[in-house]
Amino acid sequence: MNHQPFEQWMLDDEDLDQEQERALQEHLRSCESCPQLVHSWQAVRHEIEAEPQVAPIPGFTPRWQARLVKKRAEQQRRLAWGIFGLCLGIALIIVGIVYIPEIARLSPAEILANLLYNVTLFLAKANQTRGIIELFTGSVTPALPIAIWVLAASSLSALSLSWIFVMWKIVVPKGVRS
Amino acid sequence: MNSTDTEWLEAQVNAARQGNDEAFSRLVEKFQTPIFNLCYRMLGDAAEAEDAAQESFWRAYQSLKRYDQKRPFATWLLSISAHFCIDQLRKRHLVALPMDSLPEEEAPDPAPNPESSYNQREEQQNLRKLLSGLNPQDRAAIIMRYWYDLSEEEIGEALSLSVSAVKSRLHRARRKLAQMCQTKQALTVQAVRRQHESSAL
Repeated sequence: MNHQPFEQWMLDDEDLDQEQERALQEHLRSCESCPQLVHSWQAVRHEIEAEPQVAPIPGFTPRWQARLVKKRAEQQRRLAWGIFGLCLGIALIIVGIVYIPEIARLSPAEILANLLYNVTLFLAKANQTRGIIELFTGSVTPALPIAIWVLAASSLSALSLSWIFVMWKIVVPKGVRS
Repeated sequence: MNSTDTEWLEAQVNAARQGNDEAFSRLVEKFQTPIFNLCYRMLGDAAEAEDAAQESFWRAYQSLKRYDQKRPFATWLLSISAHFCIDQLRKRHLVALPMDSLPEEEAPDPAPNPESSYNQREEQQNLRKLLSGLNPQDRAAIIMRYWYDLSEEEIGEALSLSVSAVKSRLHRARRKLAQMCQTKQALTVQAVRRQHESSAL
């Protein structure tokens, strides 16, 4: 037996005109399954409508506020790591662009020799720089009054502190102390 | 919702959009029950529902700037929540599980009353099992229709479906619920009959 469109009319609560109503009643008289289906749906519907909205356990909003702080901290941390990764990526790309063509032409032994040479050169330059600084401080220190040294040291400390403060502001979000 | 409520809601939404966290917390306070209820009806588990409701508010908080104020705020929130729950259900393949394998979790009772317990619990479990037999989108459509009284157009907007798709989903869901109810009734009758037979023997 074809149950359409009767089943649809009954389940979907459609407004029926007189002709449709008559056809539906006729179908219900001859059909066994449709009245049962509708009866079951009415029972389920009654059950749903009798069921109130379920509330969460008390303290949902404070839990939300705590979650907000945590989520923000996570977001800030992810952002900081993202910026760090981006900078590192750019640096690696630049190094790659500059050195890869040169490295590609060399044998492994030559690469190793070059690496050792560059490390030695870097250490030698660092040593030279230290010598220059020592020479400078040795000759200039007695000539300058102590007040200038104090001023220079204070300025450097202030700059360092402001850098630390800015970094702390960027990395640690508002309201988070972990 | 009367005009004072609407004005209050608009003021809170505007303040929250300008970065006022207190205003957003007031919105959370106001909508916690409907959002939690939707999550609970969708997921069938109070702990998961709590997590899903919190996550829904976080998603709403993040996309508050994109919220179109022509839409009702409650429907927008329900939409975010329903999409999140549908994703969760798909991820966990909960739909593929047999109904009896669902955990026997009960909804939190804000005011425990010893008199209301047993029958209410029985009804809740029965309803939860029935709803879990529907696919996630059909379930969301039924919940929105009968717990929130949303129109087919509003459901369509919330679930990103056309009105005709909502109609056919609702029809399919009602039919399935009715059939599951029939099966359950038949099983109960069989069990009672068997019990009578054994006691007669």
